Amino acid sequence: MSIRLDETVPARTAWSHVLRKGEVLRIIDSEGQQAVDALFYAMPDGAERYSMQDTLLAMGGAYLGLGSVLMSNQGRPMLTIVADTCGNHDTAAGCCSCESNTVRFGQETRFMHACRENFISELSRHGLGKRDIVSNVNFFMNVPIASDGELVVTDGISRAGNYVDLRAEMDVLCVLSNCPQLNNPCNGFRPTPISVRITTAPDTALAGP
Amino acid sequence: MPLLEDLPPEEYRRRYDALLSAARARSEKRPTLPPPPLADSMIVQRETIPGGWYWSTFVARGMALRLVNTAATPGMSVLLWNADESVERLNVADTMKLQWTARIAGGHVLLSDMGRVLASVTADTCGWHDLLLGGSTAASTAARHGRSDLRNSRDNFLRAAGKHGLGVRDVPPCITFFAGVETDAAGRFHWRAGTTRPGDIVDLRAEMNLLAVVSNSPHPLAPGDAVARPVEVIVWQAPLAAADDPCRTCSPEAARAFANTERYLTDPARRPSA
Repeated sequence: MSIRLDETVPARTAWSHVLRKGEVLRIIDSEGQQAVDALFYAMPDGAERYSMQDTLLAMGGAYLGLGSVLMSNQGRPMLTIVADTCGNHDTAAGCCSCESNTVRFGQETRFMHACRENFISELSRHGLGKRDIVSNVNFFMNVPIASDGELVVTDGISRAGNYVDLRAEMDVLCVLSNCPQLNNPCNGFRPTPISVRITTAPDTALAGP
Repeated sequence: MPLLEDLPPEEYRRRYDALLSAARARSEKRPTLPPPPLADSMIVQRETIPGGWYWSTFVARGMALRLVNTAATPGMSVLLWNADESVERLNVADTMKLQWTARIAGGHVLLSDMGRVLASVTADTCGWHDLLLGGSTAASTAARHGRSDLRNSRDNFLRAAGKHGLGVRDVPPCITFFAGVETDAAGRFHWRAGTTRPGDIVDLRAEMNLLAVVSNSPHPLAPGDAVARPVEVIVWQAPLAAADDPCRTCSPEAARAFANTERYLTDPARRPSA
């Protein structure tokens, strides 16, 4: 096992890195109840990217957890969740944006920082842009979908130190936004830092709580 | 206006809970929205889409797109873009999240990624439409029918987009009308049979100038025939939303999205859309 990257992602900020096939990205919810929005793009040009609808169809169920395969818009596996101490991650509710905030919470929320802002900035470092933003994964975000269709962002179930391990099934650009949302419960109304770690083999020696 | 960055957590929670309570109180009362009969003079465009095929059309503000499920085919998939700025496109996540439901139906709005209304669902005789699983793909048709030669919505959307100068980066998740998908207590998806009947209609009133693509390919969970039955699509002249329009007034969220849309449309720096 070899850790080639291990760093903190401050609250409300973006992060990106290319994961080589076979490597594992660990995303750690350091303080608990912190949503981490994630998008994935196949190298080299990102035209093939994470697809929420291909993924949900392949899974047959609404929530991501251990064993879930994140699929691309070409129906190919991009990453597999090979470890998960939290479960029930969302991929239906999308990322927050200044624009959607005004609809949901009122015009006075237009100038609050949001994941879309992070994504556009971070993607621009890789030659990508807003056209490349599609429905994302929301790790550690709890969005139950009821049988009558009700879809509600509720209090997160993650505890401090909970993590997911994502094994890359192809070379993939990973883009994260450590969500800054204050207007719904996804961050416990208090955005906090997370940690990320990239290893070149399954991280079995550091199994968490 | 004051910024909302520094409230205590309890205050953000209180505001959120109030919005949620209001949404739950509304959810029992879905409006009944029968489609109006169309005089020939109101019809701008019409097309019959054979099973497996697609059709693209502009739908200007002041017009509506009528989807007619003539023979109860299991699913018609749709994508919408702002015709004046195609970087603005249908966002299924915001459409569901901001209206607190995955069961989008008559009385709801279809939102773009810019907090604006692309279209209002002003008529709906079916009530079952899917934003979670979307439309068919090469992989889904191969898995379901064991054939790799079937037409599918994902490829249809790419071809249609290409003909308008758009590309793979411009094809986001889609919405499939006339497709009943239920989620059980464990979050598993189930196809609900019999949710659409011959002649079912959905009207999508354009709240801005739109580019629309309709793909006639069965929903990926639909059992039965591999090839869809023909459907009809009609573009017709529809009255603009009045102040008491059911879609505008169905929720405070929709009302704010309409306000965002009108602010955009009346921006004096843009060419007016109508």
